Amino acid sequence: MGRAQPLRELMESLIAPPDRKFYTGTIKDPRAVFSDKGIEALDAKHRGSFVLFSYDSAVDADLAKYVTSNALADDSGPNILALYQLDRAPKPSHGLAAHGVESLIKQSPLIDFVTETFDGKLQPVPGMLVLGRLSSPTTAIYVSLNRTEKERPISDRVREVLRLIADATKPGTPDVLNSAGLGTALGLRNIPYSSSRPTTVLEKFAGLLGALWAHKSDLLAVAKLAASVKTGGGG
Amino acid sequence: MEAAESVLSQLTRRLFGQLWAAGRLAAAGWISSDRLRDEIFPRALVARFLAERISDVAPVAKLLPDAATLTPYIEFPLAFAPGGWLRDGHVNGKQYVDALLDTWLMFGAGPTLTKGFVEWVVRAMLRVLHRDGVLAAVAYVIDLQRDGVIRTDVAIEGAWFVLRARRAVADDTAVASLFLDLDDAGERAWLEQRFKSIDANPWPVVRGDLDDDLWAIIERVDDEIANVRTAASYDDWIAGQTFLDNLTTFAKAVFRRLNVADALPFAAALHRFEEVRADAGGLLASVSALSRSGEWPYTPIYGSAVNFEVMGAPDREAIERALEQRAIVPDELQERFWRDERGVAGLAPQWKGFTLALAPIVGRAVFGDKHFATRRRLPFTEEQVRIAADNSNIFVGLDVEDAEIRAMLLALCTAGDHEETRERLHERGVAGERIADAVAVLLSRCAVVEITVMVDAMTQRLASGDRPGALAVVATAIERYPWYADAYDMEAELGGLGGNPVASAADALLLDPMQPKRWRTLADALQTRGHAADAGIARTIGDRLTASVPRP
Repeated sequence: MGRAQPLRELMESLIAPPDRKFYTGTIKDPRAVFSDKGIEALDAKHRGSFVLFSYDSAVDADLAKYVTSNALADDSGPNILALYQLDRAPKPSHGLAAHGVESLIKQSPLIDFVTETFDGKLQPVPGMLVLGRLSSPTTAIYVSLNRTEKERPISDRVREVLRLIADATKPGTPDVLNSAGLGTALGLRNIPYSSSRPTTVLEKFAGLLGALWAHKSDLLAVAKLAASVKTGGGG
Repeated sequence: MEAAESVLSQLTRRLFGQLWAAGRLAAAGWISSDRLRDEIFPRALVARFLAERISDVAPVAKLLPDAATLTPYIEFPLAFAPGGWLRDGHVNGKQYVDALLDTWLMFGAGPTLTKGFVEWVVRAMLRVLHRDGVLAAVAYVIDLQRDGVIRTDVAIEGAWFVLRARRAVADDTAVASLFLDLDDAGERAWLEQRFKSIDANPWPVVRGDLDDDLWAIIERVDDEIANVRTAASYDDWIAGQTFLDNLTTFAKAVFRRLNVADALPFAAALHRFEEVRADAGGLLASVSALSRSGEWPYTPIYGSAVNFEVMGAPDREAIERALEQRAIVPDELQERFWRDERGVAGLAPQWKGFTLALAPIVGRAVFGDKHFATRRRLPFTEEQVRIAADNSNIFVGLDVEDAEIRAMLLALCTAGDHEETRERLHERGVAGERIADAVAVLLSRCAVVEITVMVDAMTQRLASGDRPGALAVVATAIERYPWYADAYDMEAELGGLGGNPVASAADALLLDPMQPKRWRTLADALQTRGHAADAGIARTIGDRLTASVPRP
């Protein structure tokens, strides 16, 4: 898991009442994390963009290796919260049956979430879904990581995209993510992407978390520490 | 073939096991200075005396937990430790033992955060940082804390200075210069140069986004949580929870002082650590309270888990979450937990309670649990209790009438368990909180009565020439009250179980090593079995104790 943290635990920490402890821990109702309150708390805590990696760990082994390494935090920086799926759920079927692909899609809540965000239109896997906000309207960008330059490591492409996302991220502004600017930057580099209609993903995101947790899975969150040490601090 | 470990070596090893546990508990503040002075320090003296004299000292060094983790750095910091660990440039078992005792006794005796010790830790960390890098320095300060060499507050203060200093300079090679003038960076300068006056307030923030040291702390805490969850015995479980309590406190304080406790990358981990810390604190508080009370305690293997389930967890999902995220039930017992087998019955011996090694430290009567104390019938008659009670004042201070006492005794001596006792009392109109309290106290005091009855029975059988019968009574006494040192004395005097008085005498000494008579008993037994040298050592200790310990 490296330096990633389970999103569920992260959201629990955000909605826990300060200085209250119960026998159950700080959270009395585990389902509270599924609520709007939990997702809004995450939005409030992380003021930058969210990036969800969509991939299959068996097929996209290079990408899986990269996102689970410590390099991801360094590359994404403090203004991007990177999310990927805990590779613990039952492996999707990769049989050669006629409905194999359909079966794979049905078994991946993350792919379902991406598809729903784009009004039912399937997006190619692997890829990166970029969201400015989770609880208020945003224009989602989906960046395909299907490679044409096979000789180039996929981590190079991801780094390049992360840099562009970081450039387009303005914490503290209402939209946070300059989607149009990001789209332009991607287009100039011939990186394939899709833009969604402006949408609020809150309900869909709650559904994603619920579906994952129902299967004992989770998203893992990776963030880089912003410089937050103050001068002094003695005593 | 390797020679068997001698009885004295075994005894020494087990005494040091007790001291090790006591050191940890003292460092965490769970043992009062009075208990340190009256119970722990005498053990340390005896253990040290033995360690100096027995020839096979290696096992003693072996038992000290993870001494090897210190040895790579031992030539530097230990030179500054009280007791002078390193006069000849290396460590041997005895020096290590001496220094360990000196340091933990000194640290454990009072809560004062001493500037000198913080400087010692900072200096040692700087040296390790300079030589092996920051990850080694973090591991180093945590190891010192784990081994009971430094208190948690000293570890926090020392680590904070070094980690804060890293953020004030552009490169780790410049950290030491904030504390020392290292123009001459030879070994002597590291060792002897005086610290500059340390004041972090004017320090700039040059590398505010450093996180390698913070992740090292998080990963270490996670490792220790995993260690505790996979504990192999109740002793390990309690000792591990003690360290978790210290370590999570350390992590929380260091992150807070570096102003990163709420930072997004660490929020989940620190939140989880706080829950683990609360669990550990609760568990240790109950153990500590039990050891002080002198009343019948219970074995809270599942203590926090059962409370958690009964008091608030709404459903299976919440329980799963707690078992997965926290160290609330040992892995080995989780299946039992789900099968609803929460009692002591059926537990493997290593999980039933503390061993003899830990019991005298954590509490003298911690072998049983609630079941032991409340779900049994007293094995004697009401009349026996009354006779024995004449000498033991078991009714003094009970807020109950004579008739109520009679009812309580009748119920306690005939009911099958606590529930039945309560029902019988209720049928007789004897009930309420006042009665419940009195029953608990009476039950506890009846243990003394039971022992008295057993001693009488043993004496009578011995007088009538029934030696095996007497030995059987003693064996029962030991089974029911394993903390009762006098029972081992009697066993030794009767020739020991299986005709081996040495083991019985050693057990008695382990529980209470300050009785000269016990050492002489052991000396005689060793002499009889041909261990003249060890017998001489045991006799010397007995003589010294006679000369030095004020007799009551």
